[in-house]
Amino acid sequence: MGRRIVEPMHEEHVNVTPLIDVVMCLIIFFLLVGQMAKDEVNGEVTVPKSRTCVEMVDSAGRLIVNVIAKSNKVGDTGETKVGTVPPDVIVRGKLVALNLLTENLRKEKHDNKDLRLVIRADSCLSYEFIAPVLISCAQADIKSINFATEQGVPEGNVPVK
Amino acid sequence: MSHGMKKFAHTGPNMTPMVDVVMCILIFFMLGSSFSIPDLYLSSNTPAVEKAGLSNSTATESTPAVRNYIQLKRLGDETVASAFGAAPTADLVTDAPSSLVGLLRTKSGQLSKDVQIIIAPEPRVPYKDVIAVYDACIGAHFEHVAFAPVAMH
Repeated sequence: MGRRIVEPMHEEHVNVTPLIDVVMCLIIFFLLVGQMAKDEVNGEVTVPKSRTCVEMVDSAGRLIVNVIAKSNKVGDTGETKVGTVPPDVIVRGKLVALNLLTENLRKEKHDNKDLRLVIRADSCLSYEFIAPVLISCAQADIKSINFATEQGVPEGNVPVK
Repeated sequence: MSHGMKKFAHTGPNMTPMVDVVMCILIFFMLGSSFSIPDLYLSSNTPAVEKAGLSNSTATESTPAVRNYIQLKRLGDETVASAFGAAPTADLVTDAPSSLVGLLRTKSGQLSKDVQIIIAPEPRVPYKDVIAVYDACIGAHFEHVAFAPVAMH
């Protein structure tokens, strides 16, 4: 009886299935990184403008403190005014009370001696709400402080809405 | 009977188009994550607050020889700045000689590099105006710029 010889199968195409697994891993990585960046940098903040701002080349040791203005109703007309009540301070995606901010920053400084703080605050806030953040930085002995701004000419004395 | 017939078994769906789709998704997320932090920064390597005993640091830092204050006050809807004994000005932004920017640039050429500028805003001064003044100081090449706490008013 003649045996049927089956020739080995010739693969003419490269098996791309493992490549999909690798690419899926990369997608998950970028998804997570994007989510972490979104938590760190609160998109609700409208930063002020400045002309001399520069890009931060090395983001190692960077800690972002988001100071987000809240609105409240003024008078009986229901009109809302932004930036007249104490703002929310968010560090690493978590709300931090102003009286606990110093302790929080001291821990961060203890963990990282080369800590570089970035203050992202709403441009409509009054200085009375920014000063406590600066005082906390001084009490935590943080010397490298950066203010997040947009490139552009500062607004100057535009009437406050 | 023919010998040498090639047997070619199709083992599953063709994954090649799926690789194209997944690559498109990957490029989308790579670009998306790169847009997430568009901010630029005004940097400062000096303590942002005049120490006045606020910090517990025992580091030996030399006290600046000269300190000049820029007072920021709120008059109605305008922020007015006064510095170096000059007349107060509400022009914080333009390059005019009478503006704060012009004044700082003039003084920068006359003063030594170790002069410390302390920005002392009133509580109601908007943060954007404080940054505008700080921006003007950096633009005038002052190296030591700090902020005064509100409690000092």
